[in-house]
Amino acid sequence: MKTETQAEKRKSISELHRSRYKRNSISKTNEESRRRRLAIDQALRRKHREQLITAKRFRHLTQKEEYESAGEDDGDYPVNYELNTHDISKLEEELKSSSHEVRLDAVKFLGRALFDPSKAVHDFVVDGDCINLLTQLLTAGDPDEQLQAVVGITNIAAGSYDFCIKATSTIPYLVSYLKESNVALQDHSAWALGNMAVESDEIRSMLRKNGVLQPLVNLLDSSDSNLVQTACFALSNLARGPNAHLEEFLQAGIGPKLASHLINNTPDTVTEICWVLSYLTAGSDQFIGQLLNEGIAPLLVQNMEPLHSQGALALPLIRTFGNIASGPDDYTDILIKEQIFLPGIISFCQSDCRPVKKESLWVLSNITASVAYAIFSHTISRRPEVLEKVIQAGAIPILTEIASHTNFDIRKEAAFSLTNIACHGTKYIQALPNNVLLPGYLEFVRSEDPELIKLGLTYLQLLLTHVPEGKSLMQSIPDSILALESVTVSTHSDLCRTASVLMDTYFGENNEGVEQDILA
Amino acid sequence: QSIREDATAKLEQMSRENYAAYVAVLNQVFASEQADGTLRQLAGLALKNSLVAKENVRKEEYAQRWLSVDQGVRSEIKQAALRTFGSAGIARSTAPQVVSAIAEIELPTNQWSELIPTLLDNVTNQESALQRQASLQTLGYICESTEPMVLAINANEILTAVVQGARKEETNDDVRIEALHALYNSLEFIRANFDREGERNFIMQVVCEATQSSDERIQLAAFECLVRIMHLYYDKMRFYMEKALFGLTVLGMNSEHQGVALQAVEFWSTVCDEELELQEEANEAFEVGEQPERVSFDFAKTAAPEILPVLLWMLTQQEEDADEDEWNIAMAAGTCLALLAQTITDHIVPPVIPFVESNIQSTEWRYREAAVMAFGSILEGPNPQILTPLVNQALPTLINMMRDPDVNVKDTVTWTLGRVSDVLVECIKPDIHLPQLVSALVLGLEDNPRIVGNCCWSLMNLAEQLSNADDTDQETSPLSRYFEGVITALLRITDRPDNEANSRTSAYEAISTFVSTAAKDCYPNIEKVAITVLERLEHTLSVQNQLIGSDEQNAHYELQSNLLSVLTSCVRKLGKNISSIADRIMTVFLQILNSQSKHSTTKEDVFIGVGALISALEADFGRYLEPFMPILYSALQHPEEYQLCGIAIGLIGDICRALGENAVQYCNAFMELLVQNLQSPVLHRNVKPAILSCLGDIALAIGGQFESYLNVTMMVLQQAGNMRADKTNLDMIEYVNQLHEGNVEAYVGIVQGLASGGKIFVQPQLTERLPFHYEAALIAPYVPGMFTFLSIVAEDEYKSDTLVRSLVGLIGDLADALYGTDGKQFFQVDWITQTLREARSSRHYSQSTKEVARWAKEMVKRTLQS
Repeated sequence: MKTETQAEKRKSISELHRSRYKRNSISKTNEESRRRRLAIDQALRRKHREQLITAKRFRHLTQKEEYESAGEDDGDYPVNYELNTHDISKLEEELKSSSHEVRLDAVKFLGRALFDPSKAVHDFVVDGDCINLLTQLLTAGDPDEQLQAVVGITNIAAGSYDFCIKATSTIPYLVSYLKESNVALQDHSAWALGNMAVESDEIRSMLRKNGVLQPLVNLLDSSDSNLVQTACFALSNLARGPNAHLEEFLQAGIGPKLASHLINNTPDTVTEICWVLSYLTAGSDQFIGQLLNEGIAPLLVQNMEPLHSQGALALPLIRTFGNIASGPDDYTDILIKEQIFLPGIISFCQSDCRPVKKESLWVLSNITASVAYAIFSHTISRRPEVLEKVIQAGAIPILTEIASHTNFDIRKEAAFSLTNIACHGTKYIQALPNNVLLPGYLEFVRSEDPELIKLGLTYLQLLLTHVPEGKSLMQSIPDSILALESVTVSTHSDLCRTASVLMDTYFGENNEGVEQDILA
Repeated sequence: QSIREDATAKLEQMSRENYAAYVAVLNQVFASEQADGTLRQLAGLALKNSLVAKENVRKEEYAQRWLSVDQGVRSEIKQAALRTFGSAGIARSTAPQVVSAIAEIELPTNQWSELIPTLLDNVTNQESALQRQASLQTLGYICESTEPMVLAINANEILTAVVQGARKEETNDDVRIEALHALYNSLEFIRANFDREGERNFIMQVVCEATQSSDERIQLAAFECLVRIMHLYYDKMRFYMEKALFGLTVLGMNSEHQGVALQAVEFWSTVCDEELELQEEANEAFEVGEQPERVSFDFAKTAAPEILPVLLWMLTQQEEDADEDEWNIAMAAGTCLALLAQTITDHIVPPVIPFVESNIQSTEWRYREAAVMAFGSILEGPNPQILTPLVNQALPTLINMMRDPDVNVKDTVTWTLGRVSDVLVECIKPDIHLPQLVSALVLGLEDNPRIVGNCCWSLMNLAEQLSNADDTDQETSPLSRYFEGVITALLRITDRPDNEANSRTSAYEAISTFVSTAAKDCYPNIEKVAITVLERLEHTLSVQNQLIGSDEQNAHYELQSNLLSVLTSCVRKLGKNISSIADRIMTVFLQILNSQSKHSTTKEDVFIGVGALISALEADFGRYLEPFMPILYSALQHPEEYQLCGIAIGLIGDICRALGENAVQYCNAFMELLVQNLQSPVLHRNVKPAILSCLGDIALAIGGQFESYLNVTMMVLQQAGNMRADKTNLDMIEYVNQLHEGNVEAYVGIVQGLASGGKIFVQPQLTERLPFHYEAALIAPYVPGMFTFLSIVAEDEYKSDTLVRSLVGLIGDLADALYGTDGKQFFQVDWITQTLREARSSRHYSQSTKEVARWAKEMVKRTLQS
């Protein structure tokens, strides 16, 4: 009734107050407790989902990045409220104070506030006096204040470009600290410089001009493993990009220093060393050559076994191998000469860690590949002796297993190696378990991905050409010829051509047996 | 009797088959001056009821039905209703309802535009007081029910007419009351008039004068206006407070008419509401270093010395056996005192404490109760440092008063102890107070059912406040040694057959809280609780068929819900440790689900329990899937029971998380049902966002095997992503927020599930010999679309904290998946940097959002440099 609703509305404020009388949190009605139960159920489900996806996320962070994203600094917590302009003016005064304690506290506080800067802090760095004040602390000469100022600069350098570029004015100081004997100061300076090096080519070139390279390389002589790792972090970042001037790294004597840490060291340090090496070996064959001459290969190979149980920590080592194997043949030979190298790589191919497994398969395909690509370019440079070693190491059954099970992307990596082996000639393709492999390759042919199709076709071509029972093997699998035929209408002309030739040659219209198969 | 039923049935049939004829017939009776008065009134009500409905869909349906009636017929009805205004019989009281019901439909469609002028003309020019009264009443109804926008063009005239009727010069009191009611209803849309000083002064004068009328009803209506004016126009009240309101309302609180006194207390409660809100605004502004837009005039602080003595006196005016729905001045004063304590904080303490001290030992229960009530009411607001010594001093007395002979006193004492446990738990020293406090509360559980609720609440607060919320796995807690005793006492209450004063429900809620906050040393006891509850649940099933009547049935289902809720808490707490009785639990669950019960709430509770069991047992739950799946599918096929369907969708996610890749065998069915539900017009829209999230759960679980569902999923997500909210519709903004959140979560599941460990090359490099990831390549075509969607969400100013968290999380996941590929370009845009910065640093976002944003920043940075 209308009159009731009007009375209700007039009372609405009173109703609100009445519900607060002796209020407690127990549900007053069934409907209320029902709503509450549903809300808890939904909240818990959301929590479970977030836990799952968050776990996947933080797994991908390196130790340094985890530090930066978690914002923890030896038990100090980041400033957890927003600083405003009043707070900043107060902080500025304190930084200029005549009391050492006040200055030290202020710069510590600033360091944490910079970790996750508020608008006011941002303006203080970009348009304000922040860098000047920090620089004053650097020049004043008190070691504690210097260290805390460098911590602040590390956090500024970790920020966005407009932050980082501001921090670059302190590069000369930081470089000079690298040469001092205060380990904490060296460590944080290297870290700050490493953060800057991440930012851009422009800043990396600035760092080189300030002579950062040699002192960083010299830090590798330290016996402090933490400092060595930080130096590697900075060096890896400095070695990024197309204009990294890697020759200067080698001239600075980095090779032997890196090598020295590969002997009897912890996985943490070895991994950081390998990150540097993976950048250096990605540069050019010349650098790989020099590093190999310095005897790096046996040292790297020695570390395969200790890193095997370390999951993703093995990645930079494997990537370095991949880079070496992608160079000239004699580089590959140097690796293979190490007795435990091939068994080691094949064992990494079976790793539970997906990226490790995948990159190891990539390394193996680079080792088997040199000849395979030569076939397509009609040059003959077969090196069966390499292949024999790969086969002796037990690669074929393991590759076959991977190529016929697991996920498409991993299968594909294994299939590349197998195709490469098959390309070496009749003897090799006949040695493959083709009845097991064929269904998998046919799935490639049926896929939508041109690269996969090409891989499948190459294999079919080799099978039909070199294996006497190849054709009947094809015919024994339902729809296999249909799969091949479907490629003849592909929009990729080379795939289409290859498929048509195979169809015409082996399953042409004159061949009644096949005709029947298709009809059946 | 049968004639009447027959007639009603005929009329109903007519209303469905020929609405125009139906209303014409009703009008004939309603308009006829010859017909019997009661009959006319009934016809008028039937007419009105065919026009208005509470529920929106039906309301719209009725409006269309009316508008489709022939103009002539409608016009006749309208004229007849207006004529009835002057009728002498009781039919006159129905006419304003009929007219306003028609007006609510027609005015928004720009019809019947002469109505408002006609009514205004009646008010100003009609001699007949009856006519004026009915016209004002109609205006009041119209102002209340019609959109302010529609009435805006007439606002000035309406206000003039209404205020004129409310003046003290109006000699007819009935007219004046209707005018004040109409004024009350128009206060919201006359904002423009209220902004003009001259008009405002006049309105305030009229209302203030009305508070001085000799007619109590007029005083009441005037005070109601004042409460609402304070709520709507606090900023304009400084002048009037000083001149008049201050004195008028203090006077009003002392009025001998309870209604007037209540409204005067309301007035001050409303002042407190407004000033608390202003303080909050000021705090927020201070945090960001800005000046607040509006300021508090501190009316409450100024008035406290005047109103506090009255409020404290009012506290002693309790009714003997106050009903639950009762609202009297003692209760209103209690609420007002609590609000005042929050508003004026420390200043409340000195005037209240003497009142407490001098009355708490009184021989008269009213004074003892008022003293405890006053003490309990001021525990929130003042600085805890000021309160702590007072509470320390009062605790032994309060604990003792749990034995007071009067139940009203005991109830207020338990409530006050509950407040202490809630907001000042540090005052309760585990070695000094806790033993006495817990045993007093346990004793209270045996007492009158009326105080059981507050005893339970106190125990719950103790459990929550004394457990460490951050550490769910603590070895022991100060409450551990009481766990068994408290649970035993609570279970005893729940053994009672009735739920008087909500006591059984309260006890079950307290058990749940004790279980979910317990430390590890209580786990063996929790298992015992689980078994007891399980036994009771089994018992309810055995008597299910013997229930008689709907009351008994409802009580039965309520009990089952309570038991299921406790059992679920036990399962959640014990996790894997529940395994030993999991078979028994699942058996009961399946029995309830397979019984013929039509009671959907019970089924929902079982589903919630199943969800807890899946999360506890993880892959081990697999053995129950065969009998459970048909039930789950059936719930998903009944979108009309949307709550149950919603939980069922959640269960799909639980199953996927628990089983991982092994869930793939069920995914065909899941996907089909989810897509069906998403497209279902029957399913309540609030469930749909959860469906989107669920698609992500599936992708996350089965990874590359999601390939076959990818096309349809992406299409569905794109459609949902195109939803936009009308910026004036808050419900819609909220809904679209949830939809976008579900959408983002789905993308997160897909990107994480399929691209994990691989790289998405947006333009696959076919010729290069790079590591190539098949599953990641599947997503590549959809990447640009995802970024477009994300940029739109990012620019939405109404996005919620959870939406922002999902959003920045997805940005991070994409950065990870596009690291070292040609997809880097997508991150070289301003909105990404801005969104990440905002999420990291704005105080509007939670700590967990900031953490995800920092991580995402690192991922984006890394990708930009690759």
